[in-house]
Amino acid sequence: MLKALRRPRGRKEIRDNPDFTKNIARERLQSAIDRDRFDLVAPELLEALRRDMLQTISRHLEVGEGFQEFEIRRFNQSLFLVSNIRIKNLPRWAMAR
Amino acid sequence: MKGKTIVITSGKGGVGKTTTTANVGAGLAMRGHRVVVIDTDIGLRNLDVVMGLENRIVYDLVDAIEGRCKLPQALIRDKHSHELYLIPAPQTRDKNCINPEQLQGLCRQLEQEFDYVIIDCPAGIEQGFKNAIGPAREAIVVTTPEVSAIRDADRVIGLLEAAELHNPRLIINRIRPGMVKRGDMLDKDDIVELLAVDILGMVPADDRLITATNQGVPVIHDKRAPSGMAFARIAARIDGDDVPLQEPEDKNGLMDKVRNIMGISRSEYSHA
Repeated sequence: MLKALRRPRGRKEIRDNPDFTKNIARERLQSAIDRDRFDLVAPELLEALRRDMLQTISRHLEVGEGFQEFEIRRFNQSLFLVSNIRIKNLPRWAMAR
Repeated sequence: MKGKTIVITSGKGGVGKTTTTANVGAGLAMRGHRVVVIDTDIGLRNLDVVMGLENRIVYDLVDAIEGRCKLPQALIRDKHSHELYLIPAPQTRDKNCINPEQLQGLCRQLEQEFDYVIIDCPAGIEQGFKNAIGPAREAIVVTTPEVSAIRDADRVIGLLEAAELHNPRLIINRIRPGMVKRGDMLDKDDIVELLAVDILGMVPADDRLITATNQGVPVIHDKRAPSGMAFARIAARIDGDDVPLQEPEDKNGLMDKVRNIMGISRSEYSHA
């Protein structure tokens, strides 16, 4: 609603321009649909992967509470697994520098 | 002649499944085919009232399945099209009173007599949906250009694939060309890209559809209605004709142009 009010009048390229509400709808739908499809095909996969990755990383690094972010995301038609995790301390050998 | 059973489904309610069923059924009948439309929304029937046949119901789908009447007794002849028949849903039972095998048996029987058997599926993805898609050889998914309808359509397409109903075709209903033009409504390309399915047709939002439905007449009989023309093209495509896709357009009256330039929202339906 606010977007519509802020939008400048006159001719503008619509494609991928977030000033147009349909592009907001498309982005939001794309991620909801990606998520739905993933859950439908492999409901346990993301959770298992998260567990395994956390275990593996913990063997090498001292980590905090777990993943801050762990999800499938789409960017320019490609799918990415986006994850990030806070590291508490660098390993001893790295601290020595 | 062996007919073909097609299910019309959507996931979300209120997107136009029943209206589409009535008009596609009428459109195929107008092309000279013998057609039967079946309301499978047990407990919430509406195809009868949309077609203007609500006063003619004696027996229904479940009567026919459970043998309380002979199959021809449950067929109600349409007022407007020759060779179009309705099998209504019962209003006092629930979706669990039949199973997919029973409906499949009925449809196989109907396919011996009719060229097209069109099933109007209830909203949702529970038992009623499973019953309705069971007998189908093809599926048509109806959506509107709204996020909720499109997301549900994607779910339904996944479930159809899982049930081996491959390559469902999409109808986008209630398109408002003015809003699409202004970038405020998802367009055909957006929706086709999101859902990754073939498109069967696009139907504009249309006041004339509402006034036709008020009178129990499928809008396809209104020769001046843009939505009716869209349904006629859809029926032709279902029937195998190679009709080019047509994007709904605004009538470019002076007021439309003024509104477009000023970017003012128009009233809900733009085709009065």
